Amino acid sequence: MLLLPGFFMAAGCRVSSEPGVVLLDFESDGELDRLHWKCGTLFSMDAGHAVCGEGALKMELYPSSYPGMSFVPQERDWSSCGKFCFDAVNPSPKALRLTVRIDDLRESPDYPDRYNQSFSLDAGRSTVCVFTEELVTSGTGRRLDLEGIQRVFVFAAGLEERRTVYLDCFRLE
Amino acid sequence: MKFLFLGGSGALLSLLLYGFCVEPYRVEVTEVVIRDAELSRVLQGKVVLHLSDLHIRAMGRRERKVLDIVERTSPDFVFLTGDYVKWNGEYDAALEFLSKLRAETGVWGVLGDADFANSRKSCLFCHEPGSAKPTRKHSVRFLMASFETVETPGGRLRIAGLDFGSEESLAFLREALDHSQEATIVLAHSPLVFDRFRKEDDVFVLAGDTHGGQIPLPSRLWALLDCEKCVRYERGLFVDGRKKMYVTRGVGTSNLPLRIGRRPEIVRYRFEGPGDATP
Repeated sequence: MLLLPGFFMAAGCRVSSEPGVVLLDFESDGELDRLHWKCGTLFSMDAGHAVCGEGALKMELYPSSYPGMSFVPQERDWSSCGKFCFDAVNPSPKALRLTVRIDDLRESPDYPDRYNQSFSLDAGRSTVCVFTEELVTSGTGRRLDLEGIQRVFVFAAGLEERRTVYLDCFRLE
Repeated sequence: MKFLFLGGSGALLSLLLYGFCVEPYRVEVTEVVIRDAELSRVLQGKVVLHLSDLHIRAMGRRERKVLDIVERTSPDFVFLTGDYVKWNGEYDAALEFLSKLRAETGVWGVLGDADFANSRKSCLFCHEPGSAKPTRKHSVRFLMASFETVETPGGRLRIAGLDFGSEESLAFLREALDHSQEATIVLAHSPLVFDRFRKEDDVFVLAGDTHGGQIPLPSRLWALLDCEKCVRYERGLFVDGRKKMYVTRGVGTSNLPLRIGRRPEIVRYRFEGPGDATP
C-alpha cells in the first residue's frame, strides 16, 4: 500500500463514526457545471468507470501547466468529518502524478498558505483519502479552518503528454 | 413650486429615457493617437480597431450597428478585450456576432469575467461543444496566457493575451517580455493589470471592463462602491514611463442597461512615431 504524508489508500482508512457526506458523485450531467472549466482539461460523464453509482467524471488532461479540476464544496464545514476521500481510475499502465490542493481562504492563497499534497496513481482503481486533522498549509504550517473550506483542486503539474483519469465519489467520511 | 417639481421630474424622466433607450445605441468610433516609435513602424498604415464589453444578449440593433461599422472600416486588425456575454447569459448570440467579425490580418481576443460566469460554456469560445477540437464557428484567435507574432511590412508585432484573473498568466507575460525586443500589444480584460507592468516595459495594453462607468460619477463615489478599477482607470489613455494603456468604454452594458455621457465606442488607433507631424 502506498503511504504518503497525509494520504493513504482506503484499505487503511480509519472509519469515522460520523455519517458520510457526498460532495460530488457524478450521477448527472449537471454536476459538470459545478466544476471550474479551464484550458487544458476536458470533462465528460463516463458510465464505464463508476465506483459508486452509475457515473464517473472522465477527465482528459492535455499538456499544459496545471490541467485538472476544482470545485467549491457545498459542504464547507468539514470539522465533524474524519477524512476527505475520492476514488480514481487510471486506465494507463503508466502511473499518473496528481496533486490535491485544498483552500480555506476565499481569495486564492499562494502555495505556502494552502494545503498541497502530491501522490502517484498507479494503474487501475485507487481510493485517495486525507485525514482532516492533517490538513495543514504547506509553507506556514497553519491548520486549515475546517469550518470554512473554500475550494478543492485535483490537478497534474507540468503535464507533457495527454492523459486520462476517471474520478468519482468525492466525499467526507 | 409645483411647476418646479413637475419640471424637475420631467427632466429626470427625459434623462432616464435617453440613458436607457438612446445612448446605449449611439455607438461611436473614437480615434486614439498612440505615440510609439516601434508600434508606428510596425503598424504604419494599418487600421486597428478595439472592441470590448459587448455583453450580447441577442443580435439586436446595437450589435448590427457595430458589425456594420467594422465592415465599413475594413480593418487590418481587430482586438477584443472580453465580456461578450451577459453575466450567466447565453452564448449563442455572442458566438454568432464573433462569426461575423472580419479583419484583413486577423481578429484576436481575450475573455472577460462575464464570459467565465459559466465556465463550462466559456469553452465554446475556443472549442467545439464537448470536444477539445477548435471551434469552426468563428475565426477569432483567443489568447489565454499566450501570444502570437505577426509579420507586417514594418516588422514583427507580438500580440499577447492575459487570462482573466490569473497570476500565472502575468508571470508568463513577464517572462516573455523580458526576452523580447518586439513591439508588443497586450490584450487584457481588467485595466488593473497595468499596475503589474514596470515603467520601463515597452508595452501597449488594451483593456476594458469598466464601461467608462456607464454614467459619470466622482471618484469618491466609485470608491464607496468598491470599484477600484473605476477609481483609477475609468476610461481613456494612461501613460506611465514607457508603458501605455487604453481603457475603452466598451459597447454594451452590465447591471443597468443605462449609459449617460458614456457612449458606446469602437476604438480606432492611429500609431505615430515621435517625429510624426500631428495634423
